[in-house]
Amino acid sequence: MINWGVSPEQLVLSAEQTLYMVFVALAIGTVLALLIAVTLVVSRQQGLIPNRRIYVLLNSLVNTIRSVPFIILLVFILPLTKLIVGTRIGTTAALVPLVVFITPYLARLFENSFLEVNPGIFETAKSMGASYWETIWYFLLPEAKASLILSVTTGTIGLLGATAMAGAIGAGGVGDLALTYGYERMNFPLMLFTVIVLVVFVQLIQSAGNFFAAKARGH
Amino acid sequence: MIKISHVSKSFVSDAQKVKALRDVSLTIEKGQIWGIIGFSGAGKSTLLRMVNALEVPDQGFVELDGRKLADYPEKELRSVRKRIGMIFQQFNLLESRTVYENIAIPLRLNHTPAEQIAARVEELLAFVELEGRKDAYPWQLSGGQKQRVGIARALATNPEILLCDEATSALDPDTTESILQLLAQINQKLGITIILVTHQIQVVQRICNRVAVMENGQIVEQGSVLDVFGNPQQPITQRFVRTVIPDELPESLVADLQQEKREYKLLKLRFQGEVAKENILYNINRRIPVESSVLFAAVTELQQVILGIFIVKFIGPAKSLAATTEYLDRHNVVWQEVAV
Repeated sequence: MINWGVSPEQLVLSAEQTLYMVFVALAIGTVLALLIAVTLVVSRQQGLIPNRRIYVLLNSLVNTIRSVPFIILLVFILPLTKLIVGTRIGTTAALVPLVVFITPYLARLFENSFLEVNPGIFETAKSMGASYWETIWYFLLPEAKASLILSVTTGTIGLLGATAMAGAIGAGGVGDLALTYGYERMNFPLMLFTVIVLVVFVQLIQSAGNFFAAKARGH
Repeated sequence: MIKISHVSKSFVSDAQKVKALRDVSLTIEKGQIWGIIGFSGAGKSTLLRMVNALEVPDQGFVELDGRKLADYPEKELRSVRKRIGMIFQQFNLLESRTVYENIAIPLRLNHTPAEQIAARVEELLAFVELEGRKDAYPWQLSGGQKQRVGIARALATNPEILLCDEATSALDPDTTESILQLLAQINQKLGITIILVTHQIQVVQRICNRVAVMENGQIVEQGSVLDVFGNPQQPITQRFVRTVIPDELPESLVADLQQEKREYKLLKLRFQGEVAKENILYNINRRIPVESSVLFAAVTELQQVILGIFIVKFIGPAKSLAATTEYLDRHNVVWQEVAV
């Protein structure tokens, strides 16, 4: 019998914590990132409503946040975390830095997805008398959908990696389990087990992403 | 009626100002099929985009049924655009949507109820002969089929005008022909005014009844296809027309003519319509003491009218030659002397 060094309940709890952090941060991050990415492509010079000021502002903001490594971001924005969730530690507290981390990352990926859309579509939309909002809703989003799904997939995997560091503020999760029980207690079987769990998570996420992207493309 | 009046437009590209349109005027009557022809960069697409206000003139104005497009507020301009269909060289279909969904988009933009959309899309699919393909995705269609979807989509909201931007330029000759037939049908059956931009003179020859030739942002020649093709004035028009209706003597014949010692006149005759069916040359030979020899002939049909271009050498004394040209004038044959 292998000595895991932790109770099964603890294993299940950390898996739950990881999934909770990933999916809540992902949900909030995706919505915010979509708003930012749409604003970026719409306000760029060749966009539907060019606006240099908004574009430069958002673009720099995205770049700035993306330059800070997650582990530093995590502690750097602690006052903001406290302000929003009322505490600096725990799984829910980790959501704030995770969202701050993943939003600009996804925004950049989404922006690229939007830029892949055939620009002729926008002229077509305009020729049909579509408003800006209709152009985004009926043309831009559906055409970018498959690519957006793949971007979300990539973002989810990035987020999964980031949750491992969230242990630094007591958020728990599979990554934290591996570090505190596996690494620090030199429990190799536990280490191996968590790595396998993470690999399986990533495989599942990627396969699901590929599946839905292909479906969105009509293949 | 579409009235384009003294329209100019410039674009800034690479810090250089490019004049896309210079003082262009054009009046398009309901039910006409206009061909706007020119080489790339002539400004024809920009001109086309003026009609549905995708481009706005720097100077001049565009009028639709007596009202200037510039006078419409943005929201009303969008409803004007819904009365004008547009198709594109690259089709611009939504790749992630089925044929059905693509055709339904303009109807969805109009908030048409779902049952009405379904009925209308079926009707359009039948019209463009794509029955049974409604669940296909664009990547499963050929170029011609994609353009048919584009046409169905453009017709969904029953527009009065159809703008075609190089709509057949990405298609092979057979497919081009079938799309042109479809466009002609749209014009005849639905009474839709069509403006098509092209660099293919065959397209103009095949279905247009009016033509405007563009060069360097200007319309250098315009009129009925019959007049412009029958008697092209500008060098660029002649270049285009010559590729479908040749009107030049072969080199070897020119060499022979230079050896000719007798007195003669070389005339290019243009027979159009009923005139083409009369025995003009026979009558000339019977009445006037001249010899005639046909050096070149091209006969074509434009807008159901026969157009014949002949280059004839008339040999005889000056008096007979004068009588010949006088006879031609009397019988409405357009002629001009050809210099060798």
